Amino acid sequence: MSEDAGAGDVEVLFFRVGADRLGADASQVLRIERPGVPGARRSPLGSHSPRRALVFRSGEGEAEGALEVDLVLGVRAIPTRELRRVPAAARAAHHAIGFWLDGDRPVLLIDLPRTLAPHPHDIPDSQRKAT
Amino acid sequence: MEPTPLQRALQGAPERAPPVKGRPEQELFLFRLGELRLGVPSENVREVIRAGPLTPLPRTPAFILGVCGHRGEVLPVLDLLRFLGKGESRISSRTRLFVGIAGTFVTGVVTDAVVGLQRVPVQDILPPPMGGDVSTEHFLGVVTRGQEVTSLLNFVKVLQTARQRAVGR
Repeated sequence: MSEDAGAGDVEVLFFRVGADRLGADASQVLRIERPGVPGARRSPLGSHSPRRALVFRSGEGEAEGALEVDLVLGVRAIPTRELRRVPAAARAAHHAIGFWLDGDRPVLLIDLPRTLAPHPHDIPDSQRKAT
Repeated sequence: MEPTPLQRALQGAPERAPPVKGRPEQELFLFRLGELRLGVPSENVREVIRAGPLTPLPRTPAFILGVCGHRGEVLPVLDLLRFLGKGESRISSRTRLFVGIAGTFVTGVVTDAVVGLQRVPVQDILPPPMGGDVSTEHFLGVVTRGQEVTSLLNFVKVLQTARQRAVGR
């Protein structure tokens, strides 16, 4: 499923939530399942009409978390020189950790465990009632 | 021997041109945004670029429209109309961004049209109108040329406030 990651590369799993293309460290993803993973804590930042769930270690012992997504695009080895931090002038949500520059198009990279306990401001208004 | 008129004139001539009392000038980058004609000191402007596709950033203030990539750099894109509470910009194929810089902060700023560079005597820059709205603190002053009024942004202050609002959320 992935390209071989060389020295100086990091494997990123890309996926879509709504219209947004996002990426996460592939090493955080334990497996990909259908939505509604039993026993996993569901991230409030997932898709409204998910087709897949990224299952990851929640950071609390063996507990698992799940981010439900619309589409899994695949895993790619990304050279670290193509990674960028979030600009200081644009502090974003806690789970937004940086970008991969796909040409001139920044792709947002997120930390999956952080999506489980987002700051109240980080939850889109449209999703607050559902959580 | 009597000095010639030329020699007499030269005797009183200075060795170099006397300093001209210059009028200090400020070079401004001027642009239009909505109904506003705005200016920022040109030292705060690095370049003007086409607005490409923006990547939205979750839960940033509404005046941060997203980020764009430019020359290997990720730039937050700032909508001054939203920031100043004067409406909101619309991004189209004609939209241009100027890459603004203040200290270590670099950002893309939406413009509807770039007017260009203009040198303005500092004494022609009048203080911003008092008693205005809260956005007044983000202006250095106004310049009036004929019927046109240009409001000069304190770009350093704008970026400082933008960052404080983003972090303070």
